[in-house]
Amino acid sequence: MKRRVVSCYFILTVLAVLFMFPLYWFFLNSLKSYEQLFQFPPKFWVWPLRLKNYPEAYHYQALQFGRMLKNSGIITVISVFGTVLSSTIVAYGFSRLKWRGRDQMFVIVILTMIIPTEVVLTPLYFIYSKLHLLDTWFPIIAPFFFAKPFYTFIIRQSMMGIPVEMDESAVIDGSNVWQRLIYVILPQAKPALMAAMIMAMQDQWNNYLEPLIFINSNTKQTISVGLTFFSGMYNIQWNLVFSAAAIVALPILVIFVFFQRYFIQGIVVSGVKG
Amino acid sequence: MVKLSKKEKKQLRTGLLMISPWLVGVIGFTLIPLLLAFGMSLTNYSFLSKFKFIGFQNYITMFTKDPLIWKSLGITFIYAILAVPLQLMFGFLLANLLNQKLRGIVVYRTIFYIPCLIVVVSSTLLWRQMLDTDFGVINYLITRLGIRKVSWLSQTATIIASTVLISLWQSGKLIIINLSGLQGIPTSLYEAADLDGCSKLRQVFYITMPLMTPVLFMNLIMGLIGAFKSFTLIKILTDGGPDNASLVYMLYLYKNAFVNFKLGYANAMSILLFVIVGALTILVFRSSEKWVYYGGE
Amino acid sequence: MKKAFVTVLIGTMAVSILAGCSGSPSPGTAGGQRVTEAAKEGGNVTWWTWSTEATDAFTRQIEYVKAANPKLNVDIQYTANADYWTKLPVAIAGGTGPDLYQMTRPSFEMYAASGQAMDLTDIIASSPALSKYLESLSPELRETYQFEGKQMAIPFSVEATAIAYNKDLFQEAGLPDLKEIEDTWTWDDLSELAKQLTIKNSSGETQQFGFYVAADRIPTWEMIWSHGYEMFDTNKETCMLDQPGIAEALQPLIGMYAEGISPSVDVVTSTSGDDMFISGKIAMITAGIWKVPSYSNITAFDWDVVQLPFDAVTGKRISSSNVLGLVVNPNTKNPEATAAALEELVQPDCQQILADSHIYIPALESVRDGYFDRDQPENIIAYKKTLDYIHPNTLTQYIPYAQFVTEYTDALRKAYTGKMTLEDALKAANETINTVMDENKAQFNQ
Repeated sequence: MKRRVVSCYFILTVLAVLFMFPLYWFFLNSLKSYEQLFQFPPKFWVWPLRLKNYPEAYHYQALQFGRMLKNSGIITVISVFGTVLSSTIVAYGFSRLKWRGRDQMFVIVILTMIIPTEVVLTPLYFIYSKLHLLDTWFPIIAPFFFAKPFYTFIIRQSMMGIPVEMDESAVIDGSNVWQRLIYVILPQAKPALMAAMIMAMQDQWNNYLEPLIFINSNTKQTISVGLTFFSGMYNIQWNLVFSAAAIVALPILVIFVFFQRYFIQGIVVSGVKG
Repeated sequence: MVKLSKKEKKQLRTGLLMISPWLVGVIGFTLIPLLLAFGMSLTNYSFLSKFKFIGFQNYITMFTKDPLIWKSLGITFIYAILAVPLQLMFGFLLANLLNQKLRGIVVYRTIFYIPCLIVVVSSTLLWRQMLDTDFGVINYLITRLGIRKVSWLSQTATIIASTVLISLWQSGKLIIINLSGLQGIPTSLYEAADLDGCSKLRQVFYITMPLMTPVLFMNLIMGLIGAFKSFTLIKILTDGGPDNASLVYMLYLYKNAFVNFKLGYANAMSILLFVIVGALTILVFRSSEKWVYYGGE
Repeated sequence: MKKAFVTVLIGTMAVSILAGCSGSPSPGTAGGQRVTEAAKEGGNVTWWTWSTEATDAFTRQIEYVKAANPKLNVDIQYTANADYWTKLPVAIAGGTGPDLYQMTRPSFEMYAASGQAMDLTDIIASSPALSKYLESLSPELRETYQFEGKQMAIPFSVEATAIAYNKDLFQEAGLPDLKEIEDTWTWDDLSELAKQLTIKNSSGETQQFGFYVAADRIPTWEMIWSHGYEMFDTNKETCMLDQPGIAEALQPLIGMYAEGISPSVDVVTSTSGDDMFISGKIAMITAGIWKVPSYSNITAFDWDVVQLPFDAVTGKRISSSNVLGLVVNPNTKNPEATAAALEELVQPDCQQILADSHIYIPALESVRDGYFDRDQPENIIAYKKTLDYIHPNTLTQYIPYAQFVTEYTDALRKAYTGKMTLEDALKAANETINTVMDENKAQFNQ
């Protein structure tokens, strides 16, 4: 028994060190000066740490860092809200309700996940331009209000695992479909919901291609696109790239650390709960 | 058309109402653009000039006159075949390790998750710097260990290896999904197996894996789709080079659309991708009936 | 959220209505109304650029415009260079493009030929300021942004190429400073020096490279033109990279690469030649003027610039020059406001801002001096002298610049690394390029 524990710790630690090294390199780079970044042999530690990189990245002129951070934040929060709203309802429809063709339709849901964004990007662009919705946040936020397949999938799978007896007793009590959803199913599906929320948050925060194409003004742009501004036409401002990326990763990291528990419980896949 | 009973009709109405957000969304955001894309694939539309309807000529060119289509498909397939199984195994193994009730396991979980929080653009730049042949820290470290320098970003094989490596580093989401799947398995099953004198290893094979098949199935589908769609990482890492050695399909599509301005042709490429991945997905679905075990459905 | 985007929608419509009302009733600027009169109405102008390094200069230019014409609102949008050329055509095709956008010379022909640039003849005719500006430019710069005889863009900056070198490394090798031979040296001389400046360590690894051989337009276009050849025929309808003279012109590079004087081009690297020069690993490197700001970060060693070497056979030297220009979107909804903004931007004082910021050399000769007024590099005047023999980076309308560059640089890379001879590589690239050009030609004429 003890041997197993020790070997587990050993493997985990080795892997953790390997995983952490690029992270360490990432943060170290964010604190090096431009010249230091290209020294060879590479320096594994520098002193003094160039903390200046952080405010420099934040105040980089072409970028409106604070503004873009705010934009990303607002867009993400709204999208997560939309996910909760739409994905739960649709997942419910695909799991707890019985209706003809339900499972076949669900296969189609999975199939629609295949379609890469790049494929529909240009046609969508034309559609939006005719509707005068370009350079607004609509193209980026709207899909989240229509039950994006991945999150719906997770929530649905979790709902499939909720014992049918709970529904049945609620039916006997005379509740209707909506009441069952809100009072019976939702509490049980909370972990999956949290997981979907966190994933949606991460996906939207890092979303790059859609804001790039659909948004023109820098005042409305998201920070994930803003990060590319450090790559000039002929050279990349390496030292600012890393510090900027660190700033962007921070909020999500903090949220993850706090909600880790829910997140992991969240994605219980069907069927096996006692 | 089968006749539905009154009850069934009512159920159908409720069901469709319930999924209406998705239905509307898929029609508006997916089906209509897809049809448009198909329509555009039948023209020679280019951003910069007028277009003409040319029927299936784009498809004919794709299959007969464009060697890069096959090259990029090949590269993408090889990547998928390598990446997907490795990702599945890695995710599963690591999740098992992280499922142990050890002190401080939370710290380990966080460590393995953090890399996927870094925006792809930035993390790829990080790796590009680390994998540099002459000045990268990885080659520096391995030369110190006495191994010869590897030219990580110079040929298809090494580039694919690097890409798989990077994707494993950022597979935090996958690990967590596996982890929660593992936690969904009742401990009572393991306890019963312990009582029966079953070894831990056999438990993994006879309890854990079968019960994890739904999760593995979902990971397989997502992994497969993801591998074929892979784009941003390669674009920033090598931009398809050198000399198209790492030109994955989506990157080639992007170049045709936005660099060469051949939008009609690019749309034809999209349709082809859709067909290929669709076929693969259906294959996996069919096979899933044989090996995926849904416990309580 | 619904409220938010409805507000945005209404807001956008309101602004566009206002902007529309502020212009003259007649569409476009024909109709004889002087631009400067329309300017009194003001309006909104969106300006797209990728030059994030010029933010400071552009901001001050916008302030200048605002001070001169308070009713004009110029809104500048930055996009990273790689994405700029993706977004721009999509935006123009979708009808939401900017009013004014920055153009790089090699892409000009294609955009002009495809109706993506407004014919500025009328605007110029009715604007004394614009006419005067264009007349003050050298004919070469003025004409380079004309397409089929019509002025389709306003040039505002001009570039030049020089050779940057690490003075310390030269001293260590006991070689004379390059400034001494600046007016006579040839590519053969450069090769010789580079050989002497390449140092290998005991295990055969190169510690120091003599010269950075790039598979890029610089210095290859320089060498081709200096050798007396062009890459396209006079009609710009056929690519002629397979001319023996072109392979001849590039021979020094092939030779140098074969001798191991340059870092490898075969591998995708995170460090560009610039990074290696900055960390002191390369003795000489071609330096387009835009590199000077990043080289100014160098503190570890002494560096300077000299003019390009001469072609050994023709005795000539020619520098490539990317002339940047401003294009007016033919679908702009605010043509008068855009023209008014342009009027202010071309004022000598406004152009001087570019020079003083040390980011761009203005196309307007009279305000250039500010650019060369600096301590580092000492010989910055080399660029000024180079302006006497520049060749703007012309291309052709029948192939997108990026596609041409891909084929061209791939061919060079294959030749350097010995996978093919230069002649064969160029011939193969030439064929591919001509196939694309024929396809596009057909499409333009359909």
